[in-house]
Amino acid sequence: MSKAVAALELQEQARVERSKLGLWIYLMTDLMLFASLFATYIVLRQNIADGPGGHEIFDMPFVLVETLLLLTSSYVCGLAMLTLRAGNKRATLTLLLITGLLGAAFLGMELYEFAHLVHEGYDWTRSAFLSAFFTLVGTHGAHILVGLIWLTVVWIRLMRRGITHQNKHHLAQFSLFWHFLDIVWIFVFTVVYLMGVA
Amino acid sequence: METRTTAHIVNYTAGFIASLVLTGGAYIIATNHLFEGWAIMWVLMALAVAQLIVQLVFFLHFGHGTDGKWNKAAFWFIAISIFILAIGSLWIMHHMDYNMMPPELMDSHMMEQRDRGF
Repeated sequence: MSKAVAALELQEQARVERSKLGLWIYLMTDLMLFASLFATYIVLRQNIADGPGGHEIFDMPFVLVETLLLLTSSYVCGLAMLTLRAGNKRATLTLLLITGLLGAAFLGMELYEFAHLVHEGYDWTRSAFLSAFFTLVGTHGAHILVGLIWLTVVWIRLMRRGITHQNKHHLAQFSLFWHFLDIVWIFVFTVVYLMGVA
Repeated sequence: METRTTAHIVNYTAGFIASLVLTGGAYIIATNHLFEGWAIMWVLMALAVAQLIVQLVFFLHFGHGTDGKWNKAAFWFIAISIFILAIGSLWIMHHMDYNMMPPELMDSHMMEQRDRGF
């Protein structure tokens, strides 16, 4: 009997390892997608046609707040992984809730920025620069939205079933994805916004 | 167990503060135009890469986990692909831009060719 249990545990461990590698390979291919969009953006950033350039439309203090929100969200998510490891379900749920709220605030600000630009008449049909801008920043935003949905699912699972092996694994996967999105944003912030106004 | 958790919290917080400093520094340099021309691009890129390394080490614990060899293989394969894709695109497009005739010259050149009967 105990032999069977040990065999099952080994099987489960192998499954977890495979799923970790799977997420990792997905993240690497996603990086490829972002790299293509970054290269496209850098090539097209001077092609503003009759539209505005980056320095005319970027509201830098606004984008800085956005950046700090996402950075803090990533940090709080890391803390949630620590309380999870320490076995504190309540603290983990609270920290993950803060992670999600900060992420949602980030996404809300980004959508506000997009709506504002479109309202001013600077939409993606105006110039190659704006097409590349909306595609790159929008793709990152879409990833954040997926992350928020994922977070909601793992949050509910954690609340209902508590700290199980499976939930630990799912949360570790989510946290990897979330840190990854924060790292991509560092480059969006630098290449698009900072270099746009520098 | 307690001290290990505390050590981890200190670790994360150090990474967070370093990220804040790097973000703030890059923001101040860019908005106040503290450097000129290409220098500012290189400085901003260096700060972004520094923050990438800080987050990889402090948040993702890159390098001191038991990453499998397939993870490493995938990482380096993608790193090389991205280098070729990104740097290659910029290189080619820059040279195309450089070697392209300016639009006004192109127009007169085409007129000339037409007048010659091509």
